[in-house]
Amino acid sequence: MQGDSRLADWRARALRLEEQVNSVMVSQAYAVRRMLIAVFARGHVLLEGDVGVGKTTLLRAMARGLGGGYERLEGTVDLMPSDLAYHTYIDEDGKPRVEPGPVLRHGESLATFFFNEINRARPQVHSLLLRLMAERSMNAFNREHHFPHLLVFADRNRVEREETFELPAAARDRFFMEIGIAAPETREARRALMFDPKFHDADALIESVDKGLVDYTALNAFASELQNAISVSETLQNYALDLWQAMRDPAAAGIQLEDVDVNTLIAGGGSPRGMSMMIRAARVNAWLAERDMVVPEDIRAVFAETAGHRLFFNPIYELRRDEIIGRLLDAALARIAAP
Amino acid sequence: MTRSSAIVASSWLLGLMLALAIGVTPARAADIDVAVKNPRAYGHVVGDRLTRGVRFTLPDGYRLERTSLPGQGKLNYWLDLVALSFDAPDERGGRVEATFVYQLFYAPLQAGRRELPSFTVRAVGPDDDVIEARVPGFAFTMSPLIELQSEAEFGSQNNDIMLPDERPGLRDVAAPRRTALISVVIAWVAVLAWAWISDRLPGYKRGPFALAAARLKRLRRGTEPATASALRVLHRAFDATAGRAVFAEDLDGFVAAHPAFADLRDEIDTFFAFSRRFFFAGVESNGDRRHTLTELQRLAEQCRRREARA
Repeated sequence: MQGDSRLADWRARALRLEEQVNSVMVSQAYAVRRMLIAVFARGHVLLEGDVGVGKTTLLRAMARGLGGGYERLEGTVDLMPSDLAYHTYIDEDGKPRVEPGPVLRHGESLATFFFNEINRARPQVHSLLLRLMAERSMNAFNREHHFPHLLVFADRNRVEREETFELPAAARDRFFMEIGIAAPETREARRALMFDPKFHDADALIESVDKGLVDYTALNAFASELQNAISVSETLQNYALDLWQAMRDPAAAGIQLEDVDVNTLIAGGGSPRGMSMMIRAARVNAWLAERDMVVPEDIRAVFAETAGHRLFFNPIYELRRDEIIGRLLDAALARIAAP
Repeated sequence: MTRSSAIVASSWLLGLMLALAIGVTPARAADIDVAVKNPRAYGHVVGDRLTRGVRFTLPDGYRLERTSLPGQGKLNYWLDLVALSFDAPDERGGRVEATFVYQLFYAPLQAGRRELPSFTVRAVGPDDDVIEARVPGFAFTMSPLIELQSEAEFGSQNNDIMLPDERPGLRDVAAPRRTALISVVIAWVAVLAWAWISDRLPGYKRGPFALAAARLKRLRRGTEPATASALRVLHRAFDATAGRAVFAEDLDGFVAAHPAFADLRDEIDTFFAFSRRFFFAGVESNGDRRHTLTELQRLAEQCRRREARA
């Protein structure tokens, strides 16, 4: 019973955080909910969206609610791995100095690391980041630094293709979720964004989120408690396995897409890690919905974000990815029934 | 006794021994035994085919030499060998059944004797020695198609010696027709029954809920615990109606798209909530199986009526 009240207590705080972030963001409830799930599942997130839709604002608001260190780094073509660890400059006496860089600056309290335009950085930087994500550690100043509370958020520039380095499959697979952030659709929301002075000053807007609403240092322990508390029945396991199989072999599942040969569509992906992450996310979603069991709706709620970026199409379809992936995921969800 | 007379005497002896040796058994054993099965020997007319079966029984190790047989084709101006077949012609020893099909092209003016020619066959032994046997000829009579009359005129009314054409006889088809009709009726009934059961009856498509109600009725007859499958039956009916997998959260959209079910919303909600508890929380149903099934059946029946009305 104590566990139940802890779960309810944490849920109340999580929902308050969501509410406050939603008051900062206009019409981004869907993305905010997915972000909240990622935070409570302790997963790194790849953000996708056009420029100026509020990715940074969303992250800063979330980081403020979580507390802990927040760092942001711009990906550039000349960024070197050492730039993440060291900050080199000439001091006032004209002497060269080396100080901890963006990753090390906050020490263990680093909670949110935002890598902007990750595909502008070179593969060396990607690989360092992958280690940071996978092991939450980094070697610098001749010793190993640990960041137990770190969550990495990365943003991909989708407009330009010149001088960019696309994330390799292995790198994309390590991200827990890929969350798409789109500009608000409704006319009212757009009007508010354009004319309401509240939205013009992002800093002041973010101040409105209570600082440290959710204790970031306790998140790791709570996340594993949460995963153990939410049950997954055999029927649901079968449902998830069917979905996985349908992703790997859409033709066998009877999925047909207009203008796409589903027999040759999938080149790879749908990794076991990805599928386990999907279940992790579904458990968090169930917890947020005040349930102690996962139902197919939970899987469906996180399916696109946790499975979409792990599927790799044949090159002939890869260029049309954005258009096809949504249809494929929708078709799989429509096709696979449970129980 | 001179040297030459001794040679003569010994060669005599050798000759005698050889003659004895051939005369006693091996000479007979190395013969080809020919048995002929002839067709009837009379009543043949121009164009007839005569089939003649010949069985050669060869000594061990001997193989029939096929070139010694008459070749297929024209044998003489009135006789063709149109077909020639064997079974196992290349084996050594044993029996070879040969079938000769001759065709007659002789048009006699009156009945007369003809003869299929005789021929000699050869068989080659293991030491390349050759033995022969003769297949006798076959004498038979051929008759003209019509009698010879110099004043006959074909096609003429008054003096045509040809009989009018025989009309083909009509068979009695009443019994087979009845059998065929009964078979067709049985087949149609079977097809209709199958189409009804599998809901493929054209123009009379039973809706998903009608099928579900029928299936639930069948499940009820079973004695095994059927709650999971019964729930699934109803779930599939919802899926089929919506055209996609329907979960509890989709019910608003489902009812909006199928307003006929709007007044059943509470029952449907209850069903989905029960199913969710049953499948995903691992909680067994509270009532007994019959009770649950009865409720499911009632819901299926209610949905079936809404579906029929829609």
